[in-house]
Amino acid sequence: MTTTTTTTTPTTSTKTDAPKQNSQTSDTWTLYGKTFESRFLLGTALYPSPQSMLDAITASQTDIVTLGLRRQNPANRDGQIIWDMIQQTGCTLLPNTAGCKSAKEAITLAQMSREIFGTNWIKLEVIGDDYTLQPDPFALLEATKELLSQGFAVLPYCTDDLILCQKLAEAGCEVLMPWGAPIGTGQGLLNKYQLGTLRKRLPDIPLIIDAGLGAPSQACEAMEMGFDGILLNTAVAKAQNPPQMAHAFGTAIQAGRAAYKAGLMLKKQTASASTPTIGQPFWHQKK
Amino acid sequence: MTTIQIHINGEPHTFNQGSTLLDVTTQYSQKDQSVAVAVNNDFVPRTQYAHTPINNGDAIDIVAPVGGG
Repeated sequence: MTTTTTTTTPTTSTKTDAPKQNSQTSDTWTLYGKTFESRFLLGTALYPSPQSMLDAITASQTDIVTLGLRRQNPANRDGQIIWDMIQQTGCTLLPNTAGCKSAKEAITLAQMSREIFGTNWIKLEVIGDDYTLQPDPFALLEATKELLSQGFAVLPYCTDDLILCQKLAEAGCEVLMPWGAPIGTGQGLLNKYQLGTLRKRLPDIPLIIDAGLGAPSQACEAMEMGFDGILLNTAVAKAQNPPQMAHAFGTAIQAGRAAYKAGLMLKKQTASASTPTIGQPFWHQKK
Repeated sequence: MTTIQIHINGEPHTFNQGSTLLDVTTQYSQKDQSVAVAVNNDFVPRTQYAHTPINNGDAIDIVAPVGGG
C-alpha cells in the first residue's frame, strides 16, 4: 500500500500510444499529486463483518478505500469499529457524499468529511433519481465547481455522458469516475460504445469505472479498454467469500491493465488461419 | 428556566435557552467518537461549537463514519 506524494505532473503517456510503452517500466498512476501502485479502489460497506471487510482490503492490495458519513446513533458503535479498522490499513481515504440529492447537501457533507477524516479528497455523489441512483449532472457540476474553489480534490461519480465529463474536466477535476452500470446492479459495462468514446475523447485524464460491476471479467474488460482504475464495493462485499473475490478482482484488474499496455489485436470480420497454409499436406492432391 | 425545542438527527430534544452547540454535542455524542455537525444544513467547524448558540426550531445533524462505497 505504498503511496508517495509528488508535485510533478503524471508521467503516464497518452492512452493512444499505450502499446508503445515499455512493459518493464513502473506502472504507477497519480491522482491529485499522490502516486499509487494499485488501480483498485475498494468500498467498505455491506460486508458480513468488520473483519471480513479488513480481510478483503488486505486481499485486494488496494491503496484507496471509500467510506461515508451517516447520522450518528450513540447506541450503535459499528461505524466506529469500522472506522478504527480502516485507519489501521494505512490506505488513502476517499470519503463519499452518497445519498445527497442536491449540490448544497453534497457540499455540506463534503465539509463535514474533511473535518472528520482530515482529507480534502471527496468522492462526489449527487443523486438525481432514486430508482437508478443516476447522478444529477447539473447539481454534480455545480457542487464540483464550489468544492474545487474550496480546495477539495473532487473525484466525481458521474454518468458516461461525454459533455458532462468534458465540463467536469474543464472545471478542474483531475480524475473522473463514470459509472459502468447503476450502483449495486452488477450489470457490468452497459454502454461500451459511450465508455469507449469517453476514453478516446479524454485521453489524458485518469478515468475510473465506478459502480455497477459484478464480476472480475467486467473489471478486466474495462481495463483492457484503457480505463485507469476500478472502484467497486458490492461485488466484493456480497460475494460468498469477500476476501477471495477481492483477490480475484485485483488480479483481473492487473491482467486487464497488462493487456491494454500490450496492445490488443484488431478485430476482424472473417476467419484467418493462424497455422501457415503454405506446406499444407494433402492440398490439391488428386485422388 | 426557559427551554427551546430542537431536532437532533430528526428527533425532538429540549435544551435550555442559551445553550450552545457544544452543549448539544457533549450531551449527545460520546467522547471517543468522531463526529461532525451541521446546523440547518450548514456545516459548523468543531472550533465554533462553543461560540454557536442554538435556537428554537434548529435542525442539527450529527454524523459519524460508516462503511461506504
